Amino acid sequence: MSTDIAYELHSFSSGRWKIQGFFDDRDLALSEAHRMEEARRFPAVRVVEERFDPATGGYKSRTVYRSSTVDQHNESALKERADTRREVQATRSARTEAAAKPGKPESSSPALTMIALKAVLLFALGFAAIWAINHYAGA
Amino acid sequence: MNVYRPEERRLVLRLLAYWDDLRGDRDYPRADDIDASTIGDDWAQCFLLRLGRTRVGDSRVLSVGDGLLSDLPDGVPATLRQVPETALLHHAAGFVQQTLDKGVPVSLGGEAVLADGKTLFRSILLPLSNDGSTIDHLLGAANGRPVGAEPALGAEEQAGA
Repeated sequence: MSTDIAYELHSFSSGRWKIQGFFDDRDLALSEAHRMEEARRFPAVRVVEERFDPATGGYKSRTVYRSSTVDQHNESALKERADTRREVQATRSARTEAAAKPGKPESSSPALTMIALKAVLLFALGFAAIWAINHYAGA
Repeated sequence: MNVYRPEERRLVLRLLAYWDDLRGDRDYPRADDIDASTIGDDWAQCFLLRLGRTRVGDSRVLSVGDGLLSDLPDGVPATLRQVPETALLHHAAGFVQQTLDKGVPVSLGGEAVLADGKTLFRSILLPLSNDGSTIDHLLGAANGRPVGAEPALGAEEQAGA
């Protein structure tokens, strides 16, 4: 059996990585990493490949898989943000298109009505004030 | 098939999941936590060792499953040293020291010349401890198929993976 390449499965807890298993087969190590992830006992797991380097006589390590609940949370948060951004963009586009369409300026009519109502009210108040001054001055 | 986690097709991963569930928050389960009936049909491919105090070869072979007995013509040997090299058990238990050094489950596979010829095998050794820290027993499992033979469905499928 050759262990020129080996795979260590690590879990992260209490601020440090701890080895949980040792395999000479990448597929087994990754499958076990996925199972541990699903079990949710550790906040993060990773698989580290240890490759024998004949030039140095030592092993070179590289992480071939890493997953954490924080990563998964970040991923879903990013997806939610992207979805929200898309919805806002779609609403904005629809509004811009509606405003650009020729025809009755339906959207501006409520504002004009309000201005007209305020003008009438001001006029009525002014008229009432003048009437009151004249009335009490004459009385 | 009556096994632990039947949805998993690979024997070593089924055993590893069983061991992991059994230990819970502990580093290692106890040897007497092992329940053959929960392991089910996979028990035939399992073996249990009680480690020697000084030498790995002095480890006692406490149990060998039926599936590993075929290349042990003289029955279950008392110690690991007495296991013939042509038995799958010899190769499956060939990395006891590595398992003790690492202190975690170790799964290795490879090619071995057994009584029936060249065999591609896959095995796992799972550490057990009665005091929670010193590894005193090992639960092992192995399966294999002749080199060149098509992998069978089920438990044998992952041999040599």
